[in-house]
Amino acid sequence: MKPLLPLLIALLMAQAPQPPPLTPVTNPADNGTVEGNVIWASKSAPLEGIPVYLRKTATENAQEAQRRGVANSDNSGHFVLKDVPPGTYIVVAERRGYFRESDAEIRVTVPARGTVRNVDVRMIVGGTISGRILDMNNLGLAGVRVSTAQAVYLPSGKRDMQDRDSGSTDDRGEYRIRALRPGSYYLRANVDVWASDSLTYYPGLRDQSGAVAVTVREAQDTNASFRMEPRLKTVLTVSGTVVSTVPGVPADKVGEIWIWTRDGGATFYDNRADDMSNGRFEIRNIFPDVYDLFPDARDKDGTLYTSRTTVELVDRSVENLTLVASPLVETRGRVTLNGEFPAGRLEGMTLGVEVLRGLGPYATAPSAGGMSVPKPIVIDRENGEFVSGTLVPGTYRFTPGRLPPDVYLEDLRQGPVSVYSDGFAISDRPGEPIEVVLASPGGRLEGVVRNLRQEPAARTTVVLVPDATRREDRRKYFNVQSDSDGKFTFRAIPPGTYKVLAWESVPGAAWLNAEFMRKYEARGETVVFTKGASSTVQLIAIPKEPEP
Amino acid sequence: MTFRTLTTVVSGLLIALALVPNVSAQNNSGIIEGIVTRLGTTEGLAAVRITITREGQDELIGEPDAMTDAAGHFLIRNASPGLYSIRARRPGYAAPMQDGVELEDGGAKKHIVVSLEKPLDITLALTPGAVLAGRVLDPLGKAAENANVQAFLVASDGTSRVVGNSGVDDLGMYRIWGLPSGKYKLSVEYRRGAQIFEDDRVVVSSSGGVFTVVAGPAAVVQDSWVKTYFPGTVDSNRAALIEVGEAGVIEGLNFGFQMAQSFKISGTVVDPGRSQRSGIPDFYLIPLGANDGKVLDAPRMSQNNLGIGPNRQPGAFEIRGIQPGRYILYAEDWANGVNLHDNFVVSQTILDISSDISDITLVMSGTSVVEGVIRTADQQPARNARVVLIPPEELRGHPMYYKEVKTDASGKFTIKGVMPGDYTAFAIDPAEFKDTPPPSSVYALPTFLGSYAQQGTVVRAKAEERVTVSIAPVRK
Repeated sequence: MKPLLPLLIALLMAQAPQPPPLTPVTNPADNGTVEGNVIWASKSAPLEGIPVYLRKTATENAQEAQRRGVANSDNSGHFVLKDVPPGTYIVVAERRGYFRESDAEIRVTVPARGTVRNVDVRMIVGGTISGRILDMNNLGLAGVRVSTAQAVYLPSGKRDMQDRDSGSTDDRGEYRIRALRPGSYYLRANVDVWASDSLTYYPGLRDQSGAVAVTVREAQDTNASFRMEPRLKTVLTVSGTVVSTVPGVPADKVGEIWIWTRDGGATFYDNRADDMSNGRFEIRNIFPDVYDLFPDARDKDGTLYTSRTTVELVDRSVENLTLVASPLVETRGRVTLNGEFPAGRLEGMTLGVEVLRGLGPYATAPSAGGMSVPKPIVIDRENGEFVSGTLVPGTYRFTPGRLPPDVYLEDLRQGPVSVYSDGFAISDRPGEPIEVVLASPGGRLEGVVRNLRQEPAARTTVVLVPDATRREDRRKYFNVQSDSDGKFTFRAIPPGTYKVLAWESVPGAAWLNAEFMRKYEARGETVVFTKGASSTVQLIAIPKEPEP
Repeated sequence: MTFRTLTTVVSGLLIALALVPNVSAQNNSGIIEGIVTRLGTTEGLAAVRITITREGQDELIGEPDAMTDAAGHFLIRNASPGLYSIRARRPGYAAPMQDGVELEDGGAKKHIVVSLEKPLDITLALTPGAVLAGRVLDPLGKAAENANVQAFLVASDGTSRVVGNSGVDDLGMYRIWGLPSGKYKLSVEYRRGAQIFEDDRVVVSSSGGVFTVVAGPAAVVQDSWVKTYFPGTVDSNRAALIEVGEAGVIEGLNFGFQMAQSFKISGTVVDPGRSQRSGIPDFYLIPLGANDGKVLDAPRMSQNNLGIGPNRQPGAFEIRGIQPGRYILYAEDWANGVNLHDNFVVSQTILDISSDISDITLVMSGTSVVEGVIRTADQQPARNARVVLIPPEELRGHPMYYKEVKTDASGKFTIKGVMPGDYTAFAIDPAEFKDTPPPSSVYALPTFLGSYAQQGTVVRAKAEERVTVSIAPVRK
């Protein structure tokens, strides 16, 4: 066999000249062995049938790594990986329903012709949750999706539940969710239909605040049965006509109506009118709420004409609504830093558009193959002036990006008025220019995070939370990760009072959530920044809390 | 005054305007109400999804118009007048054959006319579907976790089709429910080959002829653990026929994997236009039955054991664990980024597998486009007519060779991605079947061909060509 290998490689290279093989060629005679035991940690017992393999790096593709060989642990938990080319590896034991006791990597170095022995892999055995979902008449409900759910925090700071593992009920209404890491879980059930208003939390409540968590123990089944009442939300229809103030618009039928809602942001609905001629439109399956409607009327070049119409849908459909298609306007403005525009200093700076109410520039860019990409806002390099692309009527803010390390956003102004908090309004007529007011130098904070054992805590999330008066403003929160020595640095902090906290693990942007912060407030250090001030701080990381 | 307050005032005005024209809404709508019962009782069935579909349109199964309450009652307010079909579905339930109600896709269905004069009062009945359940063990006597059990409904002419399936859980249990009554065969098999998605938590690889299923079954899955039919045979002709009646539940259908010799095939897909394609073709290994070429199993995708990654040569494939027999090897690929079956290339070959086969070369070629216009008897364009291409006889067991589209408002249709070959084409104009249900899906083939075979039109689809055909709609 030996002489074949170089020939094979030559052949492979001939067929695919680029790229050359990434792995250095090693002599198979030098290969070594890795052996060890898979152990059920809590029982100190052997675990059989756990596949073990070696990864070269933590990110190496699992399939590629397994091609070098996989060994199953035998009935005494023992595994032997033979024919391992010399090198350093991470030992991986993976099987659905089994979990490593510790997150730490197990690294082994295999010497030429050597054997690495006594590699112990300690594992936790998963458990299951099973039960029955019943309808209002105590009949088993089939085809219901039952999921474990965990509390998460959305980018807005709002607390929500997110599905993790799930199972489906059978004809008896029975489900079984397996391979769960021991711990506590919320459970919820739903039926798979549009407009479902059926989401039900264990032990049978529609309101997530009343949800009761169930506990999963190692290698055990936890029973959780509950009743649900499948029903649909009310859906309504809005129909009418799009009229234009410009001849030749729309050039074709209006295929879509854009909709903005407070909670849902911007989305579009297909025009489902049987007859779309003369600007007729009909959009269906809309839940009761207050909406801003924007017709998507295009001229022959693909330019958008629209306007905003607010509609409140309560319990009945709206007919004969008239939506107007008007030309859109651009917004002018300028950037200043400490009262002037320092040519060259803000090189590379970008300006984004944040939508408070409206559609932003995505809808207005001519669509190419279904994808609309807004044109970036260009800032004049001499005087800092800029012209935004067209924005549909609504309320917006500009968000600067890629600023020099000590520069921060101080204000947004429109004439004498600060629009920093509430944003500026766009109508169908050009408004006064917007000034993006930058300032420098911002405050600077350095520090080290340690854990409860006083060791440097790597990869913790360090957060600066503004004082109570500015908590509503997400732009006043800052977060960084501590490095491998537990060190961190914040730069360009706007003046003010902040709390600084560090978490070993924090779900999403939970620090934006008032209820979450109440729990941890007292554990933060208070820091006060005046313009350009520097300080240092020592922090103890808040340990990982059991979920949910 | 800032812009913000101005906007608020404008919005307020618009709300007032928007709500004015709304008064007449109720007058243009018909009301449909009714009850769904459990068959043979007056007991209302809760959580039943009610969908109304305008005649000639497609049903939006996932978007029901109403759901029954605890008493089985439902109410739809906003139906504009016209001809509809109304369907009642609840997972696990089926409609029995009765006057005016037909069994189709697990739901009860009626044709109704909605008018403004009086509310419609509808009664529909559902009955629990049949259930087949049991436990499956691997040859080592352990739970055959992650294997898949399929239920084949066997027709009177011996052909069969898969109507249900179930995964096997960590205890070895499977349960297939919501089945129509009839005679069944059951089979179990493992998914083989390299999985593309690691998130799936079933990462399969091979080393030294042994399949290792990481994070999967309790044991290493061997090539020799082949597809097995209840009660324990690898020969589908010797599979037991299990008869289950309406609402019947048969549990304890326990069986174990059998071991048998199996083979692997390997080769290369050659695609002259590969750079335009995904480069990861899908493979189907379609068994051709021993008896007069009749296909017994539904085709399923066969996993290419050579996973994607730098180690795989372009176009290389290997499929393992194949039992001896005659098969069609079919490969398809589609244009980059377009996951639609209208722009793909295919290749197929027939293989007699009685040993390992290597060096198979499949050359991909473009498919055919079949187009035309359907006209009614009085030469008007037929809107929403269904156009169906039925493949040559030896391929009729395989849904993938069938093509079905609807005509647009001008009666035009275009069928893309047609495998070259001779087809029989039919057009079904819904207007022709106004009072009676139109012929059901082409997949219920013997019934359809039995009644309408002489009305078919032969269509010859050629690779990378557009074929324009003229098809006369089927007459009752």
